[in-house]
Amino acid sequence: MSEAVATTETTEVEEPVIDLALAEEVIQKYKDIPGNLMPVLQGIQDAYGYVPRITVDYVAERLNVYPSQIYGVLTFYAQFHLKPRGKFIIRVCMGTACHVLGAERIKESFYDRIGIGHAETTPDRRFTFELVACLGACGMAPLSMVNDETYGKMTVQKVDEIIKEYSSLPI
Amino acid sequence: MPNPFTPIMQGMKITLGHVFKKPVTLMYPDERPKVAERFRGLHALKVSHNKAKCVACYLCPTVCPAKCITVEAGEDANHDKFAAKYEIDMLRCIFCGYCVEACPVDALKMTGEFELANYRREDFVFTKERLLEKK
Amino acid sequence: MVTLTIDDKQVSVEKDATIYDAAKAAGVNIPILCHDKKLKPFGACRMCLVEVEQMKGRLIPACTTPVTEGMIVRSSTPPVEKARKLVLELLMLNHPLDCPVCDKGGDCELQNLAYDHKVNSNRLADEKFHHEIDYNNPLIERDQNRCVLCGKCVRICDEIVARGALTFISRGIETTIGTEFDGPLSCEFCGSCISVCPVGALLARPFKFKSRFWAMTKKKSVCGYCGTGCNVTLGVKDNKVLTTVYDENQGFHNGQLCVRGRFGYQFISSDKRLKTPLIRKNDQLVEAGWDEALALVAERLKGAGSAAAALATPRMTNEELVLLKQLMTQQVGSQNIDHSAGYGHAAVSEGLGKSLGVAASSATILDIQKSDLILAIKTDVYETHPVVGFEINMAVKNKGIKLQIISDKRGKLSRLPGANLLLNKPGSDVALLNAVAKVLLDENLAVTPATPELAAALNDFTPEKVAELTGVAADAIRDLARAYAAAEKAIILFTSGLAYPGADAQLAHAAANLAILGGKLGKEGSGILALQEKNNSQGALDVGFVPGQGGLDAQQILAGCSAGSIKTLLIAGENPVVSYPAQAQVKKALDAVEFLVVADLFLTETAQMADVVLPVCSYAEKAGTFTATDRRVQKISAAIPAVGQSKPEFQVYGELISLLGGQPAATQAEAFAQIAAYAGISYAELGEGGAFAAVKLQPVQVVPKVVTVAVDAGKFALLTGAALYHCGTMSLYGEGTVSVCGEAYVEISRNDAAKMNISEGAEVKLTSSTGTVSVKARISPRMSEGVAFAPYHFAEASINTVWSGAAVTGVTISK
Repeated sequence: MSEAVATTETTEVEEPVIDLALAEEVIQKYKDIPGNLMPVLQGIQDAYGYVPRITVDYVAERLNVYPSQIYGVLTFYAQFHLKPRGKFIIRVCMGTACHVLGAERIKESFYDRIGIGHAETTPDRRFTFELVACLGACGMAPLSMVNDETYGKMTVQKVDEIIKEYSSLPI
Repeated sequence: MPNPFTPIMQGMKITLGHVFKKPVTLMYPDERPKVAERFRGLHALKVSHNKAKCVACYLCPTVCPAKCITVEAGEDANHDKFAAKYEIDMLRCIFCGYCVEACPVDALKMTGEFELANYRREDFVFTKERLLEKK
Repeated sequence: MVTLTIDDKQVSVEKDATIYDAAKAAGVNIPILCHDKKLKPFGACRMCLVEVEQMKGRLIPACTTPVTEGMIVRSSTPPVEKARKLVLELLMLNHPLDCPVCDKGGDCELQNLAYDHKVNSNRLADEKFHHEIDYNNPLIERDQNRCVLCGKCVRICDEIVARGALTFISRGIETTIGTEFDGPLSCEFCGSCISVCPVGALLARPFKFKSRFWAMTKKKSVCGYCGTGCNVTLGVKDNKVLTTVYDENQGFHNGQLCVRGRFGYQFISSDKRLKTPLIRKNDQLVEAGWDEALALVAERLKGAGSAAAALATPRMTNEELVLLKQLMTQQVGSQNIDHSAGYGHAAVSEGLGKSLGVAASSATILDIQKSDLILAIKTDVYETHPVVGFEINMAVKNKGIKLQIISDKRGKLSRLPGANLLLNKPGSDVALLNAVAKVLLDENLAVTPATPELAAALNDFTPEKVAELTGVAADAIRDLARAYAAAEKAIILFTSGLAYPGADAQLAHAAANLAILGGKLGKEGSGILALQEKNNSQGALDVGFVPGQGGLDAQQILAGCSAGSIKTLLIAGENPVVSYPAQAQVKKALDAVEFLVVADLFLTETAQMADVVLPVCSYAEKAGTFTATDRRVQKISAAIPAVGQSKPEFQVYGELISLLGGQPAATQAEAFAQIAAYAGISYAELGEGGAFAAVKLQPVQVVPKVVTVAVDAGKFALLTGAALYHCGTMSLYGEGTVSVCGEAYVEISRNDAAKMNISEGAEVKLTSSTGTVSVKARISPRMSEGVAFAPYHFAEASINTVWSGAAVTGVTISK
């Protein structure tokens, strides 16, 4: 039933080789601080762009916490990602205002162009697509974001332009 | 002293009254009785989708006052529960119908079947196959 | 003490009690789902809401709110009842109503609460969950659709089992209980999570659909595996033991069980049980009657004198051991009786016997949680006695009791928070303990002065010297000694038994010296606790089932068989072919002996060699007493009638005594009264939980002999021991334990595996000077380089083909 299961089946993005030295560096930084699990995991996400599975086992062994506990924390907070993410994160707002002004069509246009759905990443790891509840700028509805760039008053034509613009950038 | 003929007359009246009524006896077994709709006869396990509806919850053997029902549950290929064994000992059964009442999945009913005579004791133990509803 | 009023009843409770505890004390029933007396308060289910006069305006959860003076609590006012009903409706919203097919039906807390609160309809409507059910392991079924997220399984796995296999995943309506990365459950399979689950989300698969809860008779008994002496409740139906039933009020362990206790019961009603006596005729074991078999045995034993011998298993009851001892010593006239291969009980019989003046542990299992410091010798303490391990977990995690470990391998214990592990080279435990004692003397930390002999002997064990020998830093040894001396109460634990030849008399002496010098004997929370292997190991010593004056011990008996001086051997329950070291020699001895009688539940590898096999009863079919490793004497009674024609050994040996013209004790009580060590305990008055037999200490400082073990360069140091899932060879007949651990294996370190290019599960060959055996490799982070560990339970690929009884065996490992 859960969507997470469905997505792992559809996008098999190959996991890159993980260098645990980066994780060790983060652990060293927070090693002796009580309640260090969150900063360690955040540090690992910063270092790798997501939290690779192998680092979970590594952190568990080094900090002497249960791997299950770490997984619980990772799935509790929306800020953690367990799959490799694209260079450009496309967020499409599905909030009330955007919904009324046609967010559904924006979502579908993106899907038609890059072929991925919610929380999925293109195999070349260029784009990650996410649907969000509200981006907090309802005046600009329908709204989309690519990384930190905001695109208001979205149209289907604008979707094309965005894809074109970011497809030409190097990754 | 009352008239000695009065009781005789009264008796004859009833007798004569019955002479012209339809008989209540049946020419069994040539004639079959019409069993009432809610008659409690032999049990039947209801069938749905080609298998018994019974899920072997053990409520019928638990509620049975005569302790005549034996159920053994099994696990099928889908990990679902079914009655691997379901037996009713008709020699012990008192046909109270509590088992039907207790069934949470409406898998058991009592039919109008009342001819349960048999020659051997073991034939009175009705196995699941014999109890399955005949359509 | 705090006084408060609950439903107009005044009650005084401790000041750290919660409203729920106080209500319980006042006899007021507050419904709960997520609360468990063994676990920390959690407050997840909101079933225990109550009204408190002083906190008007909202409802207060009773299980997490501490009591205050003068509190006025009302537990069942209309607003409270309304709130509880709503909570139940919300829980039932997504909970499937499949009680007819749910094994928890009849024992389900949600069902009971719904019934109590008359929740027959729901004002709300929502879809049920459609989570996939986890059938990935043979013992625990996880159905998240039924879960009410009380979190008891997560908490018990963390707080008591210290495994942390389960956790809350995701949040909000999507929350489930699961493992890391939603993988299959890979844990110890102790089933603690099943025992506390209030609904049918976690179920025992071996018991699935076997019976409804209410249709079983619950029979209380004592677990027949290890020496912990856990109390168990057996679920019996149609004269078969179908399951173990959880009872949170049972025993010192509050119903907690390990994997063997909870899932290893199938051997009792196993199809493989022997049903009739067997007699060897024309080299074939054929079925025979009891009269014929016993007559034959009696004839052979008659006047055999010292040409007869008996080896017994310490799984027999005390009363049976009394009769067998009487049979051998009085009727047959032989002092050749022993158990546990002789060396298996040496740590207690000889070691503690000399050092403490009594062949018993000075401390009890209850002392663990009352101590300030636990010194565990070998991490195997957890594997051999898992429920004692739970006590250590709770002591360390909940009470902050310090844990010091001396071990040749890491393990579950060394992962506990704050655990300090001194990783020593295999076979150097005694030297290390001596060095600790030496530091106590040198730094004037000793409470009792050392005798000149001991002081002189310890001079060779300066921390620096021992550091070289053991591979433990000298400072670490000093720190351990200081910590031990500084703790007001300290308890030393070590495990002994067939697989631990290293836990010998010398180790017991060294440990006892430490306790004597440190002044850690004879007070609560302090002392020495030897964890003995079998459920009645201590009883066998208390009965005195050891070689009498001039008698032979187990090893000498086997040697005598080979040499021809022992002509008749009676083996009661032991399986020396698998469990004793040096299989070739054992087999040779059993082949050579003229007449071999084996009394057992199964046709074991040993029984197959016998001339007469007597089928006897399991602990579930007989009456008597077991003595746990801490000298807790507990009574058992028959839960089911004897399987087949098998007889309790009490009856078998009684009949043999009668046949040989003796007078056996007529009742268990009569036999029990003959045990001197239990003077003051009455068989009839032994209740649930049993009674502790007195231990009178007369400490003596004995100089331990130190044998240094050297393993040739290039060879692995092979350690034998017990696997968590097994105890002796009997658990191999329990399907539950076998389903999760059914094959012989050897654990090696990651580095060694990488060096030799061995992958997990690969078949490897162990070769020692005595033989070769092929087993599966397990790559384990707990092993050090050059050290290998192999459990001894498995008949196929039995480790005793390469192990001949040394604490450390040099072996080569090849692909």
